[in-house]
Amino acid sequence: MGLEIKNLSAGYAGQAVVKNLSFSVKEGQIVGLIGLNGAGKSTTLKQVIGLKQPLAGSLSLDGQTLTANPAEYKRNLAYIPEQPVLYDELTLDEHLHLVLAAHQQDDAAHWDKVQELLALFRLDGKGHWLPQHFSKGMKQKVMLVAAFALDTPLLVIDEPFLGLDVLAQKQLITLMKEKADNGTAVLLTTHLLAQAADYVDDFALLEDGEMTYFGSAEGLATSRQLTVDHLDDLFS
Amino acid sequence: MSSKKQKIQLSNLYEIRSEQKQIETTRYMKLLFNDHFLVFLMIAFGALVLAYRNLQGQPLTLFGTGVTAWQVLAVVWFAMGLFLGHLQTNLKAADRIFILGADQYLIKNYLPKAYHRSLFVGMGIQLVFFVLALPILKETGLKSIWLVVILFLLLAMKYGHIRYEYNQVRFNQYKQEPTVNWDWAINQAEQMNNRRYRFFALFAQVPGQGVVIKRRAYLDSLLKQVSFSKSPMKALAIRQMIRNQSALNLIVRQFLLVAVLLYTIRNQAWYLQAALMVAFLYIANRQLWPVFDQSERVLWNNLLSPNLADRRKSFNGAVQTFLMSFAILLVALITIFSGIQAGGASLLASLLMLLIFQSQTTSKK
Repeated sequence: MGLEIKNLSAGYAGQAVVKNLSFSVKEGQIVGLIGLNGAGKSTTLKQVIGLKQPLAGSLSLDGQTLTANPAEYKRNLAYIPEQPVLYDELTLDEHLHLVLAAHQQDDAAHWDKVQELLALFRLDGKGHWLPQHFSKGMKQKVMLVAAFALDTPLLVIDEPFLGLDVLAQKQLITLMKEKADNGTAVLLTTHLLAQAADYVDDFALLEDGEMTYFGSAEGLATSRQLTVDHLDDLFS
Repeated sequence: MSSKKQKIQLSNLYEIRSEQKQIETTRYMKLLFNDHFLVFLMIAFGALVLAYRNLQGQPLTLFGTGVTAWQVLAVVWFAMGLFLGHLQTNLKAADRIFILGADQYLIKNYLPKAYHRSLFVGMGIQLVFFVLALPILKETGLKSIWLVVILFLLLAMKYGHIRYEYNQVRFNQYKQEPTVNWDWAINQAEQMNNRRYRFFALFAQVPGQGVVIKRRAYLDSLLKQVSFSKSPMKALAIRQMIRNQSALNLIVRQFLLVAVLLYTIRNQAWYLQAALMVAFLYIANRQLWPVFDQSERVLWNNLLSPNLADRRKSFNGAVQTFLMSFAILLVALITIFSGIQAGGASLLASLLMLLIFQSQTTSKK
């Protein structure tokens, strides 16, 4: 099942930034949404996570549409934004309890996993810290732990590596692959194309709000007379 | 906002900065003296007048020392007044880069303007403080000549203080022409601004002021009673209200003010105490709602309940629980100060008030 986007048009003040977009992210698939700044990546993600109403078209996640059942739709996805946004007044542990409660997932059953993730990102022992004590990278790791602790059919990540150290980037790639292996559909945006070719199954290329390519890294490279190693030169 | 935009030139920089500051002050004044706070102030002012009338004519000697509470009050009042009215240069950190080359213009034109204006404002503030203190001074029994001496001293001290700051801002390092002491000037200007914002933040939530959070670990065992798994929105709201320094401090300050006023009007009719308590609950309820708006920027809020009205309802429930604890304390104080009848009336009034809040807020949006 996974995420299904059909003829989606979206934008601001009635002006379409994304036009007639259709693609799907199936269970266990990792799709990279790529494009230059202003191509429509963030607008698409805002539609996928249900922050904005589309101008036209539809989205469904495991058969649930955003219009028919917004609460269920939103509970079925975990989202990691480009900029970490946390509650100033909640500690790290409280954020994680809240996220589990908000997604209606059993706190006790997930807490071991939470602890593993905290240790993985070197946040263990900091459960009582407030966001004001965290660096930007640490805040991003809190967002990662919160998202990966959840069992949701879709994981959406906006610029996953921004602000993360090299070790955390490697761990994040491993976690994404594990999630996909367990049947989660993963949709992410990235500018690091050559690196993404290693773990992304398919790329969706957006240019001026329209999808001009959907498929493998090899196919994308070939269509632009490049090799996969030189995918970062795609727009030059 | 001024309808005509002035072109920024060095020659009118001080005037433009002063105008901008006035516009900002007006904006903050509107925030501070909002409708709700005015209602509270009117009742508090009434209570203050009553308190004064109650104590009028009483010597209020402190522990047989010969010093009266009136004298102490006057000294504290004037000391507070002297804290206000500094040199207002309106300089900004960027000035040291962008108008560094205009040092001599600043010394000969800009800073003298700042000095004279600051003197005018500073002296004016002392005069206002003096006039407002007249009822207290009357109770001290001082003769008119002493009142004149006090006023002269206040004005002289303020003049000396502003003159000292003016000398500091002009730096005469090489015994030649003075130059701007940028480190001192920027530091002083920033301190002035921070003080101003802190004043507005005393009784209003000022936008642009960073949110200060304190974890208050000593309340952890209490907070554990409100778990996220049972009621996530309530658990979130209670923690926000307790840890948000600006919101909680605001409420606590008002609570203390009300407690003092309740003591001073303890011999008045019971409905006055109940009215003061209702005024406190009214303003406190209004002042807690910005906390809700702050949390709306976090995406998880949408998941707690996709419906904004439901989220407001949950938050409102938490606000009422929170305010109830203050109401109980006030009822206890009123009962101690004024007796069971006033305590009972205040309890009923506060319950009624909280019920009204409940119905009003949940019917919004």
